[in-house]
Order: sequence, then structure tokens, then C-alpha cells
Amino acid sequence: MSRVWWCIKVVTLPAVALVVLPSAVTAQSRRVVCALDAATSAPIARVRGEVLGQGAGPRVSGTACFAVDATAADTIMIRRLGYTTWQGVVTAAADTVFAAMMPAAHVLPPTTARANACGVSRAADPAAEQRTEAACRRGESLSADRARTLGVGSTSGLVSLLPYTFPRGQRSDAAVSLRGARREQVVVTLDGLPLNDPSTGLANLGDVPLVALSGATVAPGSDPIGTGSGAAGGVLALSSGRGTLASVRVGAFGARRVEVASDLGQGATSLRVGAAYSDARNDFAFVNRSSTSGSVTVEDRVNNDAMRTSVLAQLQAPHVQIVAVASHASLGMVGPVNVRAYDADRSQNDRLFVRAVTQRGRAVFSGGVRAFGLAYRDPTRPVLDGEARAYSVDVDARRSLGLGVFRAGLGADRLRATGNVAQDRVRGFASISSTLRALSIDWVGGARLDGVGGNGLLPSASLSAERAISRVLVSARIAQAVRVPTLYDLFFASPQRLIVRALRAERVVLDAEARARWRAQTRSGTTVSLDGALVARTTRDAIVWFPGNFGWSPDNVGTEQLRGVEARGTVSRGPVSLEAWGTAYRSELVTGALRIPTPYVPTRAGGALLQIASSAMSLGVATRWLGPRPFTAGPRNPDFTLAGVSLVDLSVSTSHVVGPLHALLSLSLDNASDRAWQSTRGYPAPGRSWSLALTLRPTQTP
Amino acid sequence: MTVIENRFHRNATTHASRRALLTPLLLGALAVITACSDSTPTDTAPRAAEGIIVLDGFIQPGLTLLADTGGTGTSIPFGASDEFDAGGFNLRNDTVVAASSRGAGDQLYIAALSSVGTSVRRVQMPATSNPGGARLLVGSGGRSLVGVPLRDSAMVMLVSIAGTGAPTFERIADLGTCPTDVFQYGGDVWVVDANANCAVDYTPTGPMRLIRVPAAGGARQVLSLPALRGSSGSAIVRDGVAYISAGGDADFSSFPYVLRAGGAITRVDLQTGTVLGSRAMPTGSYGANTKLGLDGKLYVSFYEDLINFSTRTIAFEGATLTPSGVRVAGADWLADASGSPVGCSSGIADGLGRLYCLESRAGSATFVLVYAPDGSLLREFAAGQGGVDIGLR
Repeated sequence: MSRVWWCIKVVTLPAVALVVLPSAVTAQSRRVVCALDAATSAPIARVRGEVLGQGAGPRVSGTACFAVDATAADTIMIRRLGYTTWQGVVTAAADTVFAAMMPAAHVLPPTTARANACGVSRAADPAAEQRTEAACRRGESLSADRARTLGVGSTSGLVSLLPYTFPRGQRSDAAVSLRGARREQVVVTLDGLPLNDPSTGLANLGDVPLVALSGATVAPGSDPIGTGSGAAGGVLALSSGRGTLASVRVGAFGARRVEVASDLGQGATSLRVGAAYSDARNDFAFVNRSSTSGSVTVEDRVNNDAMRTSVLAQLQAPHVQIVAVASHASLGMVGPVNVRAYDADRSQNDRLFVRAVTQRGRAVFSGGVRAFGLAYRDPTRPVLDGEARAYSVDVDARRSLGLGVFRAGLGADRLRATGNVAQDRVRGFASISSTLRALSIDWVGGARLDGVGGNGLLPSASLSAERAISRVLVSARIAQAVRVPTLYDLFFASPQRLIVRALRAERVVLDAEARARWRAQTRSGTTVSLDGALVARTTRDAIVWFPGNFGWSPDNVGTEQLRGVEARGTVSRGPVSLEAWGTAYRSELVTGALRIPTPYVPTRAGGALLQIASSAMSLGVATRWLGPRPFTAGPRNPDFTLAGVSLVDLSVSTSHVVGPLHALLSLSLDNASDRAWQSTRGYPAPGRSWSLALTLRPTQTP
Repeated sequence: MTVIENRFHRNATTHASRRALLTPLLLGALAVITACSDSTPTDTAPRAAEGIIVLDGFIQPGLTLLADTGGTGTSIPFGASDEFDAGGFNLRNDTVVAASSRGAGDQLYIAALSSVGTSVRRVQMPATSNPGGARLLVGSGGRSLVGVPLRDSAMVMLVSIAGTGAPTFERIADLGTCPTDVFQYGGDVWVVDANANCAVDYTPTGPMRLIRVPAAGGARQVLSLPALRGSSGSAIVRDGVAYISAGGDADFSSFPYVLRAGGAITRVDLQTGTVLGSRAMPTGSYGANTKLGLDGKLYVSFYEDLINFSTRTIAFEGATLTPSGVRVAGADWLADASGSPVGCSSGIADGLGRLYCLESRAGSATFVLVYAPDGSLLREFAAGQGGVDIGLR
């Protein structure tokens, strides 16, 4: 994905620094240092920087950029709570140093998370290359700000713009599949803490307001070291938001959304508070091709409305960082298109997420609390009303020692639900990860040991190697990972409790990836990149829930295999950027004589994003193509396969400075070709729809 | 929503005023055609199965047609798993009928299996009427007649279809609290009422009932079946006797599950409308999936207990409900040649007494195991996935 829009912003950072620090670069030895989030490329405010050996104390910057007096060969160290300390040697040629800081809680698979390549070793390169290296190399990330220019107003919309993602939902809920994995095999994190509900193993992106985020990064492939259990298919890493903004959005089918956030920061301490409200009737028309009349009819969805309220608070102080998000959702629980039994059913979801990080010496401590509540109401059959409450608590500590980074943590899950369901579980883990450069190869390896109640000790490991050959970055990675059964897998299957069965953790016995990345920049300023990977994953004892009667509770039913190819290319020149990606997967469960393709995973899929952006206007065209998708847990069968579909979203946005405010007005047209399609069988997606959004920010932002 | 549903909506008002007149007329016409007939096979000579039909109820809903020796089967899809949830089907000649509940769209499925091809037709039942099954009845004038008990509406829908023409509908209302099966005998329509709160949570509210709707009109007869409790009752008619089975009543709201009442089979003399006797299922067991074998025996499959949910099958001599066949020592259920229990989720025998046993394995892979009368395993073969019911042609 080309990052022109964001690159433009990053390019402006030194200019901002020049304005903010007019004397910063007047001396030959004065350097401007700008801190960027290595995962999202977002500027990082309130960093503490110092030049080692000078004896001067650290300088705390209120903005992303600050100036230091340094000469060539000096070492600059930048610290920021929540990020791995950045350290680099200044070279004579560098008047501006971009420090791509790796979020401490955001540990991704090594080949995806190589922050050091953006760091000091490139400080001697020309500034242009620094900018592209620091801000543009991580195409798997997308900032919330850029998504807004593309007409996106929700977290699920943001994720759908990322490459290699396969968002799915039935009503207004949204989950994501990566690399052919089932949804519960993908961990969604916010600042490193998983959002996945411990009872079902799923994370609903619909409950996370966009205003709470600064961006998202997708990392297909197992992440056994950083995220641990559950990340067998990959990680979707969300990072908490920044800045002051207000946004209003209206759209088709009664959609309304209001988001506000205010950064009340003073000096080194920042308090950001915000709130979001959205509702929609979602009574869109759909084409029913499976009606019993035998004819194609056009009908309206009913009881498909959604209302969500969220509040958030983010505290950033020198020694503590706290993120809290609470949400409430009221949803109509419409059933499949020909099923009327659920036309009155309602659901209410409450979610609380709190995470705190602090640093003492060289150790970083973090803790988190998650609570999830579900209330289901069936007015026509109140006896079927049900409630569930799930809670999770996590604490962990990390510290760098000679061998690498050690990390250890404890956690506990609790579930209480209607029907006297009471389930509890404790967890713990310890891990070590280390980097090494040998034989001109960067090696990153790690090992982790998880202990989960009822599952014993579960080891996992990861090793990657990367080497630059001319302009081609060649890498390989192998890993093993586990996913312990969720509480739902073990005991609880709505609406009936089924057999209490001791399941084994499903184990990724091999997650392998061979990748090559190439990028070039012409003298005319055109940047081209190509990225291709061969991937393979074999999972033993896959846990699958086959719906049915008493004998068909979740079970370890066999071996799940995936083989595939991922490819992505970007071209950017001036205001034009184009990205295209594609995947070809064969993902299936093998159990006895059965070969069952993973439901809803297309054998071939792709997408493209074209954006033409200037400082005042952006035009965007996003396309996504999904090949045929099986929709049952059965053998390949054309009768049980959703047809392939191509979708096109259009957007135009314009930004202006109005007094002290920066205004972004965006108009989007989703599914512009009005294709009738279904994300999940029986649950039609809207046809052509529009939305109009106005986002205001103060012009003076950190 | 659909044209069919609108028709039901209109009929809801018109039929209310005409029901008293139309129902006796319809039943009278049926009486002429079906006098002294029933819905059981009439073949008497022992014969082997010509073909096997397995119903996939959950994974890729539809029928799998197999030769007696297995091999590559023919699949007949019914629809998506969110639009089909039947646990059984009814077969007569080359026609199969099944129905989905309110949670899967309230639909009647009619599959025509002919040597020149197959076809599946879906007929919309009233929204949220909650069909409890479907049974092929004897129609008139070359039309097929299907009876569909609508559990949440306390009525039976009679669907008459000729070829590919539009179906016509007639309803018999006021049939207890939860009708779950319907059959014809002596020209009358008989309905099994589970007497359960099916519209809410399927909790039994009393003993099951057998309701006789006279073809000539007049007062209905309601026969209480004290031994039968459960959320679903079904009937098999043979030689003027109805064998009505109920699976029992259990509380699944907390673990360990509690068995409130076990399953049982009650024999009813349809000529006199009297209960001949009842046979309780084994102590602690749950369920009573009853099928009439081509050898004349009743094959009843059930869960041995509410802990392991192991499936077992008993072969009853029809007239006396006496367990028969090679059985596990000290138990009534069938055993294989080694004495181990046969684990059929559904079983039926051919005319030679060979048991065709449906078994679900990992991944809901379905297998048919064929046992000789002495319990020896003759053969086994794959039969698709998600199998819930089996029939022989």
C-alpha cells in the first residue's frame, strides 16, 4: 500500500519542527529527532530523548519532534513508556533522525515487526530514504487518519482496507480472518492486550470505536511469542488513538455517528478523553434468491438496527500509561433472510477494557482488565432470555537482559452465564526473545511457555532470519503455536449446554513462511515495492464445533492444513498511490476421510486501493474481490458455496483550514456497483450506500 | 414477505370462518380414498434393501442416496444449514418429505427421487408456526398430500400438490398444545399431541395425547397417553395398532442434567381407541427414535444416559414390544458379534433382519454399518456428513 498521504504528513514533521523549534537547526551540530510509531507510522508525542555521554539530562518533548545538540558518532537514546527504547548513532549526513519506535506491547511476528531496520542504521542515509523507510515500509498498517480520508468511519471499515484481511459479520458485528484461519484463531489486540472474548474466543470489531484508535496493523502468521495462545492465524494489532478531534457522520439506512475526543495534555502528561455514539436502522433492501416462492424477490431487512455508545480515556504520564474503553451496544438480532423467528429478538453487549503500563528501571509492568456482558432478550419467548458475563485479568512484566527480552505474566478468566454456567481458569506464561546478527543475517528467535488451567504446559517457539540482498529483503520464518480451548469450546454451546469434554489445545506444529520484499525508488520519485510470500501452516488437534445434537460438541477433530501464496505490490508517485494484493490459499481440515475447507475462506482473493491525494483533496477507490467461499463445515460442494464477488468503494474528501480548525469533509459510496452479496450465508450485506462525514481537528496538534 | 406468506396471511382470516365447513369436507374426501389404509409399507415378503437414504440435517443439509453396498452416493441438497434443521424424514416410494422448524424458516421440503433425476421443492409454512415434521399421506386425484404438524400453532397443515403446480393448503386447528405427528387410519386423521409448551421452551405440561379427527366431522376424540412425556411424540401404524413413542423429559439447564421422565412406547388400538399397553425405555435412558424395519420389528434408538450420551438401539417385536436380537449381556439393546453394544443414532432393518446402523464419527462424518441378525458386521461405508436419519427403499 502506498503511504503517500501519510508520508506527506510525516514529511511535514520536520517542517513543523522547524516552526516549533526555530533555532533547532541553525547550528551545524543541532539535529531534529522525530519519533514515529513503527507499527502505524504515527508521530509519538511526549518522548524523552538524550544524547548519551553528554551528561545532560533527558529532554521531554511535548511534540513528536525535538532538537538536540549532537555531533557525528553521538548516540541518541529515546524513551517512551509503552515503546521499546530506541537508540542510535548519529551520522554526519543526518540533520533529521526518524526514530521508529516499536510498541512494547505490540510484539508481532519477527519478519513483520522488524523495527530496527527503520532505525539508526539508516540514519546516515539521505533524508528522503529515511522518510520512506520509517513511514512507508510498513504497508500492512493503516492509520485511522488516513482511513478517514478514504471515507471510513468505523474500525471494521479500517480493517477492511488492510491487505490480507477477510472481515466477516452477520449483523453489525464484525470479526476478521487472516491467512485462512478461523476467526477464533486471530487475536485482536489493543495496545498489546487481546480483545478476544475469553468465552467465545472472538473479538467484535464493531464494539471498538474508531476514535479510540490511531491505527491498525495486520500481521498474518502465528505470533506465539508476543501474543501467545490464540494467535495461530495472525494478529490484528490496534493502537490507541491520539489528538483532539470531533467527527459527525450520516449515511444511508439511517446511519448516524458522532465521535469526539480531546487531548487535555500539559507538558509531559496527557489526558485524552472521548466518546462515540452511533446508530443505524440498517433496513436496507436485499435480493432474496432463496425464497420458497422460487422467484427472486427484493425485501427489506428488519430488526437489523444497531446502537452503540462508547467512552474512552487515555492517560499518558512519564511513568504510567492508561487506556480505558467502555462500550454499550443494543442490537437487533435478525435471523437469516427466510427465518422470521428472530424478528423481535434483541441483544445488549457491554464491554470494558482497561490497560495500564508503568516502568520501573529497565522493567516494564503492564496490567489489564476486560469485562464482557451479553444480555439476550426474546420478547416472544422470555424463558429463552439469557445473560453471560466474562471477565479477564492480566498482568505481565518484561525486562531486557543480556540474552534478550524476558517476559512473564499471569492471568485469569471467568465466565458466568444463564443456566448456572460457572467457569474459571488461570493462566501464566514466560517468554524470551532475542536478536542476533550473524553471517550477514538478522536472526530473531524466541520461546514461550504457557500454562493454562486444564491444559498443562504448552511450549511454543519462533525463529526468523532475514537478509538484504541488494534491494531485495529475503526472509524466512518458522514457528510453533498453540490455541487453548475457549471456555465456550470446553463447556458452553448456546442454547444448550452439551457434553463436558476435555479438549486438547490445538497446536500449530508448523507455521512457515518464506518471503521476499523488493522496493525501489527512481530518481523521478516513483516508489515501487513488491512483496511475495509462500506460506504454510499445519495445525494438529484442530478444535471445531459442528452444530447438531448432543454428540456434536466442539472436539479435536483432526489436522488443519494451509498452503498458500501472498503477494502485494505498491506504486506511488507524487500524489498518486496504488496498492494491490492477492492471496491464494488452500485451507482445509482433514479428519478421517473428510477434507473440509475452512468455511468462508476463498481459495483466491484480492484487493486494490488507489488514492490520489493532495494537501487539500483525496480521491480513493478501494476494490476487493472474493472468490467462491464455502459456507458449511463440509466437503467442497458447489451447492454450499457462496459465489465470488467484486466490490468497489469510492471516496472523495477535502480538507481545509478554517480558523483554528482543520476540517476534513469526506463523501463515500460503498458497494458502488450495487452488488448483491453476503458476507455470511443468509445474512445479506447492503447494496450501494453512501455516507458523509465531517471531521474537525485543531490545527495545532502534537 | 413472499407470495406464499401473503397467502397464509390472507388465509388466516378467511379460513377462520370457513374452517368448520371445509375441514369435514376435506376429511370426508380423504376417507373415500384412504379408507382402512395407513402410512406403513405394505410389502410382506422379506427383501433386502434396494437403496439407502441418509438425511444430513446440519452440515450440508440434504439427502445422500446410496446403494445397498455403499459406494459413491448421490447428494441431493436441501439448502443452507440455517434453513434446514430436521432430525428425520418420511419416505414413501420415491418421495421424501421433511420440515424445518421456526428457527430454520418454517419450511416443508419435498424431494422426488426418480430414476431419471431428482427434484427438491420447498414450501413455505406460516412464519414461526414451528413445523414438527412432515408425513406423506394419501392424496386424491393424483395429488400428493403431506401433513405438517405446526407445533406453535396447534394445528396441522395439509399440503396438496400435483406435479409442479401450486400447492393448496388446508388446516386442521385446535389440536392440543403441540402437535408433533399426524397419520391417517380408517379414513380419519390422527394427531399426536406432545402436550408441551413448544412455543416457548418445549417443556412438557402433561402426558401426551392422541387426537382423532373424524373424517365425517363431529366431536374429536382425545386419548390420554399417561406413559408418554416429552417434547415430541411420533407414531408408527401397523395392523391397526399405533405405536406411539416419546423420548422423555430432561432438564438441561444445569449440569449434571436431570432426567425427569424416561422414554416409552405406547400401543393404541385404533379401532377401539384404547391403550393396549406401554413399554418403558431402559432406566436412565433418554430418547426414543423409533423406526419400523422391513422385518416388522420396531427399532428404537436412544441415549443410554445423560452423561456420556452413548447411543443404543433396541429391536422390539412389534406385537408385544419384547426386546429381540443379539443383545448386550444384562441389557435390552443390540450387540455386535463380540457382545459390544451397537451405537446407532438411528437404525432400521431390511426384510432379512439386517440392521442398517447410522453412526456419527469425528467431524460428524457419517457411516452406515450393516449388521447381520447374528450381530456380525457385514460391511460399513461412508454416508456423507451430519447424518441424522436413515431410511431404506
